[in-house]
Amino acid sequence: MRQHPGTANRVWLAILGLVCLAAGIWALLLASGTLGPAEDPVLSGPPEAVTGPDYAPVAALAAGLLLGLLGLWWILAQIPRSLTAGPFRLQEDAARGITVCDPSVLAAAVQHETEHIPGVVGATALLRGSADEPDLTVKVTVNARADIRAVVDQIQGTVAPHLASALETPLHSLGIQIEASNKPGLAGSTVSSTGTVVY
Amino acid sequence: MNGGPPVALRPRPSRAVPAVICGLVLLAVGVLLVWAAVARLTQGQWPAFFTAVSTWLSTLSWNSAGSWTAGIILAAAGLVLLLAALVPGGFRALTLHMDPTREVTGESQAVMSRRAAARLAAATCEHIDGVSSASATASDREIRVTVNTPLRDTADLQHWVTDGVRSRLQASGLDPLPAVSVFIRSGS
Repeated sequence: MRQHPGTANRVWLAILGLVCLAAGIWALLLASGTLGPAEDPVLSGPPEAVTGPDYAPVAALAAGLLLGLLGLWWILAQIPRSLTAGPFRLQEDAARGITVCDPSVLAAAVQHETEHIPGVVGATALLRGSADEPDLTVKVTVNARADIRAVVDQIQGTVAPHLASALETPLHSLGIQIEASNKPGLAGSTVSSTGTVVY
Repeated sequence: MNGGPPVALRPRPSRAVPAVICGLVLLAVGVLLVWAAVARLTQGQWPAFFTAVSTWLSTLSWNSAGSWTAGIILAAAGLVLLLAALVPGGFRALTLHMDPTREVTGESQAVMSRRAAARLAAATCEHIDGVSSASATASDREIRVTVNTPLRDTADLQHWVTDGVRSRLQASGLDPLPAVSVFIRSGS
């Protein structure tokens, strides 16, 4: 249901991997004497010699800020985002009046209707996009003994059309995510029974 | 206008663990550099940890054991990071068949998590005569069911469980249907 930074992670891991691999190979080539005298010290002078004593602290500060901010951004980017839609604007002509609908109200209605399907243990609905092109994603937890096909068909054949009818526009996309649980369904579909059969 | 859900329902692993580790390393290096630079700007000299590293590096020659070790560790870390980025990893969910409808102009997509598929398979087994308990694990291509039974002759049970799980998954609409492997543990 939520967006994870998969692509950004892959790109940055690849960049960092290439940098580390190149640095490692460069160090190994220097250590083997291929790129220069292997007896030379790793650091031939003080670190300030690279930029000069006046600029070294500024360069270290800039590099530190850059690396620190990159690290912080990368860690914060791992928080999954729901990308929920903003308020739906339903009016055709703003001069005649404005009609705004909170997508969470519609999502709650979808959730409520989904939870009444036999076998459903719980449901979460999320609306993205706009009032003209709404994207509906429903996460449904069903009882492990329930008829999964019937649940999916009912969401697609009843719940989604009801939302489309309320918004007076077809949905742009529909996503259904099924989870299974051993808990009984809210509306009930399976009955567990115990007892003794006497012959 | 065609298009799928804005957020993928069937993503590959996001590599959050290596990303967080690298982010923490970058943050730590950044904090140390800023600390050293601020100390140099305010007190006129680099902090002890910073000069200790540069002193140690100036005493180290390229062909020393330390340099070889650092080179090997760097190259290995780079390789691991590259593999983490390039190896795609398995899908976390299995797709369910869905027909297009009038009410959805773009793509309709339904998925079932691997855990849900495993739970479904295990629940199916528990209704088959001769099964005392069952557990299952699922990948995006295969469901492995382990069944405990008090029966001595398990050939028929193996057949029933495989057929039962396969037909349940098929009836649920999984497309493509994952392979079903059944392992029977006889109590006798």
